[in-house]
Amino acid sequence: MDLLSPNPGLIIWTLITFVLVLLVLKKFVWGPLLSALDQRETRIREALEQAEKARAEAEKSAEENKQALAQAQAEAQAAINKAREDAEQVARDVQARAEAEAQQLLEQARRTIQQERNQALQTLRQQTAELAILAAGQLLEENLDDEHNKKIVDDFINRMPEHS
Amino acid sequence: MAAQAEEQQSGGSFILEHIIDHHELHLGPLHIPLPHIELFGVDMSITGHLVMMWVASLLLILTLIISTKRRGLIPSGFANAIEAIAIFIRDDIAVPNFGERDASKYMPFLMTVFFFILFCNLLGLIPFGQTATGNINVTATLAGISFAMMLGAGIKHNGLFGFFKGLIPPNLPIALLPLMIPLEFLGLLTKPFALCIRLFANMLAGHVVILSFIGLIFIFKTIFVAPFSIAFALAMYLLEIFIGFLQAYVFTLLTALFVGLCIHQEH
Repeated sequence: MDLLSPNPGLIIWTLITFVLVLLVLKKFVWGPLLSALDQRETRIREALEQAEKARAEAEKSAEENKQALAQAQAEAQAAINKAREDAEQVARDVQARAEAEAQQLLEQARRTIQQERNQALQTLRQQTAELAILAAGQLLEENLDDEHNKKIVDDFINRMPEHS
Repeated sequence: MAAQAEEQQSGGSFILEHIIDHHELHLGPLHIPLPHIELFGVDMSITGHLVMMWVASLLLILTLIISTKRRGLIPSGFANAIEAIAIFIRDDIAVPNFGERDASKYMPFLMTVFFFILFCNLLGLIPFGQTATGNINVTATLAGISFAMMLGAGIKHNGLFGFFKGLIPPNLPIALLPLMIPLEFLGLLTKPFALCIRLFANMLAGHVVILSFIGLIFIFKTIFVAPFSIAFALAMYLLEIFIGFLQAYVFTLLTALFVGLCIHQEH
């Protein structure tokens, strides 16, 4: 046999062999292999999509959590501020009321003092007049006309300076 | 076997002895005669290369079936390598040439072409093995199968008339038709011819070079040539492994390309 001599028998055998190999492999290897490949790729693709979806969801919920947290913080801050304002208001009210009360008490005390003083002065004047009349009567040993005497003493008292 | 005397003179005939087909199976010094069969007037004798092709085919079928047998969704071991090749052939050869939709239809054929050629190529590198793809009858048959695929796919997609009409570039002046029709027809035939010759020559050449390096030892009849011869032969051997894969890939790629061109003739 030569290097380039045609051999029809070998050609036919090769054809038969190749076709048989093709059929056997197609049935037992390529079919299962390629379908498994497709299956796996589908599964991987699905898994990736799911992971992507889960990630997006997690991101969304994290965002929501953040927002809720921020909102809660804002609410808490608002509550604190309100409480502080209320407390300040209350404090201011209490202080104002206390001041007013104190002022009122002071005023009342002052009025009472003034009244007492006036009353004392009044009493003092009366007693001074009576004492003066008594003293004058005893000094003069003379029963003067009460009406007349009282007038003289009243004039005297009235001539006395108002505030002494 | 023909002439020991001639071998003494030229030193080259032992190379030919190793690379041509015989009607006996050569296992080292052992020459096993193979049966002569004649069917319908055709010499269907079993030859050494044919036996090697069968061995390669059996190895191929067994390897693939065993390695891919226990299939879960997650491959392991050797099945991984098979799958890597399958994915490569699908994504880099089938899909670009046939499109996403048609690729799976041609995948079994392309995969078989690749692995069949690969195993035939590599079997020649094993001691006592011979390269069936180093026989031009084998490569011609494989190229013929590719050619049949080209014609079949082309006619199936474009119709019998449409396919041959599509071979001629559109909007061609009528005057050029007598020139272009034979040219395009020749171009169609060149493709499988190139496939046939490329694989045959590549497989043959590597073995010839290795045998030549080894042969230098016997031509010079001195042991001092041996280290160089063996070093170069070893380098060639490693290159041959690479070429075995490369040519299987090239044959598959070009087959897919040519079949794709017959389907999508507008390119």
